[in-house]
Parts: sequence; C-alpha cells; structure tokens
Amino acid sequence: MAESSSVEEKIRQEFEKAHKEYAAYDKTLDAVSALSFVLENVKPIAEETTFHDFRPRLDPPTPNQAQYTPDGLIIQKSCDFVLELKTSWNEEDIRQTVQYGRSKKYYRPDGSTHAFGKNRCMLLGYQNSPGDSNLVKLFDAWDLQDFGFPLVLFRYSLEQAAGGDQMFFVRVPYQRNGLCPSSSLGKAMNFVQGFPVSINSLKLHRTKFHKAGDQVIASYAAVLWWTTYARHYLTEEQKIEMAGGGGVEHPLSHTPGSCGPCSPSARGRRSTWAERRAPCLGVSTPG
Amino acid sequence: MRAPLTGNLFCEFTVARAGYLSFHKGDCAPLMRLMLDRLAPAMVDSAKPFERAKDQFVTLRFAEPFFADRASYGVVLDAISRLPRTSIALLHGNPYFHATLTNYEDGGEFEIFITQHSTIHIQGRGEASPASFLRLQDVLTQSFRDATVALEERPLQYSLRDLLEGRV
Repeated sequence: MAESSSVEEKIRQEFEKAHKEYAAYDKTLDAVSALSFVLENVKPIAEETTFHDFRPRLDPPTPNQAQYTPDGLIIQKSCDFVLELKTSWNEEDIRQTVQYGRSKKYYRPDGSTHAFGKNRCMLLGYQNSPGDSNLVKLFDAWDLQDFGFPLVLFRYSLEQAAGGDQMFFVRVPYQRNGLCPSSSLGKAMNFVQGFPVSINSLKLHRTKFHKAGDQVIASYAAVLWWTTYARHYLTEEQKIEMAGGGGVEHPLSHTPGSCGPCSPSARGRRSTWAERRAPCLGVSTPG
Repeated sequence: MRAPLTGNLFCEFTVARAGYLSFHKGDCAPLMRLMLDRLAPAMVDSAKPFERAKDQFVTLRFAEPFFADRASYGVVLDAISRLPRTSIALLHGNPYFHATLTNYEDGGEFEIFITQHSTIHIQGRGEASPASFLRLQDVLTQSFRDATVALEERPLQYSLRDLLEGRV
C-alpha cells in the first residue's frame, strides 16, 4: 500500500511538472494570438503592416548554417520587427538573440529571401522578467555587436481583470532597454503603461496557433501521458516502472477504447508516442 | 398540455424538454398545424447560424452568468463528454476555457471557448455539419438551459487609442 501511494505521488509530481511546462508554452501561444489580433484589427497597425509571419525563417549570416526560426516577423512600411517569446530566462537567450540580430535576410512563405530594411527592431518578450544581472549580460552582448537597431524587452502575462481575462504586454523598465521606432506598433510597445488584449478578442486568432507550436505539442503530450496513461492504462508493475524511470520498457498491451496497435517502447520518447495517441483520448486535465 | 378548442373539442399532447412531441388524445389537427406552421420553420431557423458558420464562431448566449465561477467549466466538460464517440482535449482551463472536441460519429471537430460569463463560443473546424453543431448545442443547453444562438460579429477595427486604453 505504501509503495502504491509513493508511485501515485511520483506520477502526480511528474504530471505537475509536465503541466507547468505546458501552461507556460500555452501562454506564449496566447501572446502570439494577441499580437496577431492586434496586427490585423488595430487599424493604424494593420495599415502600416505589409507582412507578418508567426513561423518565420531567417537567413543565417554565414553559409551552411541552419535557418533561424524566431517566433515572429513583422514587416512594416517603416520598420521590420523580429519577435522572440520566452517563458523565463535562459543563458542561451543571449546567443540566440544576437544571432537573430546578425541575420540580414528573411524568408517569405514562397521561399524567396528579402533583405531587412534599414529600420529594424528586435522584440524579446518574457513571461518572467530576467533579473538585472542577466539583463546586463544580454545588453552587453547586444551592444557589443553594434547593430544600430534596438533590442526591446517586454513582459507578457495572462491576467484576470474586472472586464475579463486578458493578455497584457508591457515594456520592461530597464534603463538600457531599447525603444521601438515610432510606428503605431512601436508606440504601443513603448507605452509605459502597457496594453492588454482581451481573451475574447485573441480567441479569434487562437485556433490558428494552438497546434502550431512544436514545444506546446510535446509538452501537452507529456500532460496526457502523465494524467491519462500513467494513471489509467498501466498495470501496477508498469506504474512502478514509469515512476522510477519515466518510461516503460515493454510495449503496452491493448487498452480500452484504443484505436490502433500500441507498440513503441515509451522510454525516452514518451511525448512523441503520447502525441500520436492524443486524438484517441478523452482527457480532462486540471486547469 | 391540454389545449381547449371550441365546444367539447380539445387536443392533448406533451412537449418534452428535448423536443419530443407526443399526441395523447383529442383532435390532432391543431397539433399538426402547430408543427407545420410554427415548429418546422422554427427548427429550420435554429440551424441557420450553423449553416453559415464556416470559419466563424457561433455563440451560445445564456440568460444567466453560468460561467462566472470556474467550477462551471467542469459541468461543461461533463456535458460535452456525454456525446457518444467523441474525444475531448482540454487545452486551457484557467482562467479561460478552451477545449477541442472531435466527434467520431459525424467527423465534426470543434473548438469550444468560454471567455465571458454567459457565453460559449464554438468554432467548427473544416466541414463541421449543422447537424453536428446541433448535437453539441443540445448537450450544452440540456445542462445550462436554452441559449440564444448567433454568429459572432466580425471583430471591430480598433484605433491605437482603443488598444492603449484597454478596449481591445
């Protein structure tokens, strides 16, 4: 009995870890949806935007390098924005941000490359603002490159407000933080009080993105795995194996309501497996 | 229900919550007229928003703020779980509600959002049929009473001031 409850506890902990990760990626997609709504439905911003892409590819400055894939590209009449959205600080962010700054060209969906215009801006958003010491490192690395265009950090968060839930954007008030060029989008990003986009508005664009993020799919698959499969579809022995090693060595047996053979070993690839199984599931996960 | 007619004539019938009509006794002509003249057009009208719903949200607006409390999301999940041969993925449960429902019975796939206290927003993916929408509407209204069904208005064009003052 004691062993069984410790297995349940381990599975619960793994679920909470997976769900936390999923929720963070999910908020990123909310932010993308909100910005997409703003680009199309705030008239002065829509009028000055000629092209935007939330799965863009940038041309690396040196040949034989993989294309860069930031979270957004907004090409306007007077300025080009590259967007990257993060959940929280990672040392790798410095290298990645500088890489995006170095890129000289971007790809259009038809595969053609276009050079960035003279006015450019790098937008870097965080759910949790990086600490000052990390900001110093980031801006030291950025300034060292002498790009001649700003890096603008902002924070985004999903908030409950009197008028309904909203995604809120606000520029980080750090003295070395850049200022966007004064297009309408730039003015909104520079606005010291920030700006919200209601969930009711962003939902109109949300379905374009909720299956688009590779990371969010993998993390959601992990949620499914730990909530549904780890709890309901494994034998007691398999649960113990899962709790100990994070996977099961042997193929799963046929499961109730399954829609195909269950063959792969889950160890080391459980997200992929759960992802393929996801359409078969009746899932209820805690909010 | 016993509807008196002229003299000793009457028409007795039952209308069930789910829409079943049962004739019990009396003169069936008034019931037939009711069905043909009023009920049939009303049923056709009720499916019209779903016929024009491609790429748009359909809103089910309830008279009461059922979704002011997040606990009500569980009732929504229970309701849509009653549809046979479906799978539901809850993508978001707090603060707003977003689930995907796939109906293997008829191939319908739906995005279901709750972002306001008295409204459920449904978007059919691909070629979701009006009948498939109706099945979903039916289980929801069984749990939360009747709702006004309409297509969601196309979003407004906002000004920069609207954005900065929190009206978007």
